[in-house]
Amino acid sequence: MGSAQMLKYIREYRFYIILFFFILLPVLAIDTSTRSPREYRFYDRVIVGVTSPVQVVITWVLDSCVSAYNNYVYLWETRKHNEDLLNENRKLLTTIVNLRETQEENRRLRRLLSFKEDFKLDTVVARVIARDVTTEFRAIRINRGESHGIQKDMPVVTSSGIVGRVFRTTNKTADVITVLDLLSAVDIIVKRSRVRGIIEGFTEDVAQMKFALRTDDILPGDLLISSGLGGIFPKGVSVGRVSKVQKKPYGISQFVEVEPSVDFSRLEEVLIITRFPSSPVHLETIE
Amino acid sequence: MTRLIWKFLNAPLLILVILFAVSIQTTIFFPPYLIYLKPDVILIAVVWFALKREFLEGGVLTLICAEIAEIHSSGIQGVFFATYMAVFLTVKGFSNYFVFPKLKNAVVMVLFISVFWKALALAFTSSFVDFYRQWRQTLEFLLPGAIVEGALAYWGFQFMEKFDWKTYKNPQALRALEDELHLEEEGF
Repeated sequence: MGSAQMLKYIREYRFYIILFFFILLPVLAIDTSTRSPREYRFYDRVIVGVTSPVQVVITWVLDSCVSAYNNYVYLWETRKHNEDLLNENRKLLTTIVNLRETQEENRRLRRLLSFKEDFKLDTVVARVIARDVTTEFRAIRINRGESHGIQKDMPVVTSSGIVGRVFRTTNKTADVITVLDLLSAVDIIVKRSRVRGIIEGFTEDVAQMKFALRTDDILPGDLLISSGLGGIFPKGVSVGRVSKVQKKPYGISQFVEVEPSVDFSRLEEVLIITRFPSSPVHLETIE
Repeated sequence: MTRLIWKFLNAPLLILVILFAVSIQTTIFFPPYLIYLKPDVILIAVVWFALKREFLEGGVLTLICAEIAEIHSSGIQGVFFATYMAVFLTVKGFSNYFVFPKLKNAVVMVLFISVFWKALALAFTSSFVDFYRQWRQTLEFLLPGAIVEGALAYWGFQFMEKFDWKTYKNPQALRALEDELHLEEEGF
């Protein structure tokens, strides 16, 4: 077959050839061997390099607006009754807004610092700048990356407990797979009865404890802590509390719903643990 | 010449607009009560590509959009490629047999496509995680997501229509440009 004839065939079947590749590429892209999201490639870093500064700016603007609005509403009544002080109030308002924000931030950071000292951990503080693009998955993006010493699989926590683990990084940002994500799995122990299990994401605000046997002693209100197995999370960090237990009359397992210790709807700052002692952490009191 | 450059820049600029929209989408819907209003801008863009772009160009743009979605999500590898490409091919197929004369027809289609996309995502992810865990989440966000995406598509399509017109991608604008070039060649 001559090249001219080949070209003729390609032109004739152009549509089907393109269609074939459009179907083939997604099939090749699906990784059936792993449940994990993929690593960044060089062109991914370029795209994230474009979006992450925008995300940082939008988050900062939103935070400032919400903070300013809250403080303005707070002071509104006072202003009405103190007309004489109006001008002074206006001058002070900006200062108060900044101070309140700083105070609140201070309080949060102080708690993070106390957590860090209690657990004797090397950590980096980061701010949450974005959430997952869809409602199907629940990753977050933070404003610290490789240049701050952040690496894949580093645990991410707050003073309340475990947030998740880093699953990919760029120079300035890192993506964190939260404990609420469908693909997340954290090995845990029920603090009271020492029953073991695995926490996996379930819905937008609750997780599920898997592999809990019917005979296992689990009650609503039980605190779940990380077991330290797998080497990603330090042992003894709070993961969540049992919110619901359902035992069916048949089967070998029971359904255990878990409310995470971290309030993901109010998550602003997190700690990335860059190094923790290999021996079990003695504290299990972060409740 | 300037107009030809504009036409050439249509796709890169559109991708930049989508990146900006994704940045907003991933940042402003933080509070729990706002999450129900979180639209999928990439889905809207993919529907637009299926309706207004040629097969090859639209498909390539869809793959780029899927790539953008994948690196802004913890989704399983390839799920976005498969689901968005399925949406693209479905809408492209529909557009060969049905005409969407008005904007509102296309918007209604976005409503259905939003449900279709969620069903596809459910089918794909349920092969990796428990179906029970996933369908509850899908059901919860199914209707709010479709309504928000339909509403956003109304403005989104208007914006992209104008954008295509300004960058000479719109067939009528292109025809006008070709006529003008033809007249210039003729010496008018």
